[in-house]
Amino acid sequence: MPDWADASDSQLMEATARGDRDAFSVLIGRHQGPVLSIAYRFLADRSGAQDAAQEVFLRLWRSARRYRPDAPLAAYLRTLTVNLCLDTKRKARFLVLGQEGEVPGRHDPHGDLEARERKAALSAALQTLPEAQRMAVVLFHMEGASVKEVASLLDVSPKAAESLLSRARSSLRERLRPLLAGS
Amino acid sequence: MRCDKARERIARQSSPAQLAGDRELASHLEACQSCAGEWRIHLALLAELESAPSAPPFPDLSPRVLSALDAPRGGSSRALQWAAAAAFAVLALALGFLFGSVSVTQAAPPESMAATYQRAITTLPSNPAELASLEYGARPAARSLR
Repeated sequence: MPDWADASDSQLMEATARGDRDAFSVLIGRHQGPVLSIAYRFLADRSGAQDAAQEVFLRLWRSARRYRPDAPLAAYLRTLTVNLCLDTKRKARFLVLGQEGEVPGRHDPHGDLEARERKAALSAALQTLPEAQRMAVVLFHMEGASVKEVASLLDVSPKAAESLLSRARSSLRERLRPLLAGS
Repeated sequence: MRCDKARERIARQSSPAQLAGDRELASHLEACQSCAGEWRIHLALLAELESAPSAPPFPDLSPRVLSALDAPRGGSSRALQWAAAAAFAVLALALGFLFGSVSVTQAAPPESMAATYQRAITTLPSNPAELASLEYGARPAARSLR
């Protein structure tokens, strides 16, 4: 069995396309972090994020033969994750009306109570944003994507992406005003 | 600059450094206490967003994904549904064809129609000129319709 640990993403994808599960397993281990991070920050739900990440990798497995290494695999996975999260949320809106998401701040064991409450408030405020605005905030402010990348991932113009971010920041500022004014 | 315009411009700032590029807004913030307060709230929001906690540690997804590869996919039941729908369509077509052909063979022409045909056959003119006029008689009428 070849040692895939040092193999490039392209080599791993080629092997995955041939049905090599060991290579695929290495790919998952290498890329699961960013996929889970986007899914978790957007969905604010641990098990939902794991389900979404699983589906992302299943789609990657199914499309491995069609994959062409024109763009980095990380970018391809990011696109898959964003589309799946937006899709999941749209479906969930009809299935679980009014269900509150998990608060990411709860998992921060090092933060003090006040900091955790602020994170919880931020997370709750994020969940009230429309999907596209929320995803724009997650990608730009939390995942470090550029406006151009956000635009490309959301399939909108850079100007529209700027507008999404601007409206999201305005809404968050209004919702979190008492909390932010005291800080 | 009006305050509502300034607040719009504040929302566009994605980092504190961006303010340096907007001299108009910067000078408004120096003059307007209310908008300066708004700018401070905006900076606090940006700081909150940048320091948002990363995702908690998740267990390795590989075993979960690999076991899901072996599980039957939802697509197979969808394929079954398509096959059933196609079989039903073929059956409906076959039955339609069968009943259609039976009714056609059983249906006799109405009596009045049979008599008309019979009359037309027996009273056909034998003169070629008359026959030609009968054959092409409809054409001028058709043209006149256009």
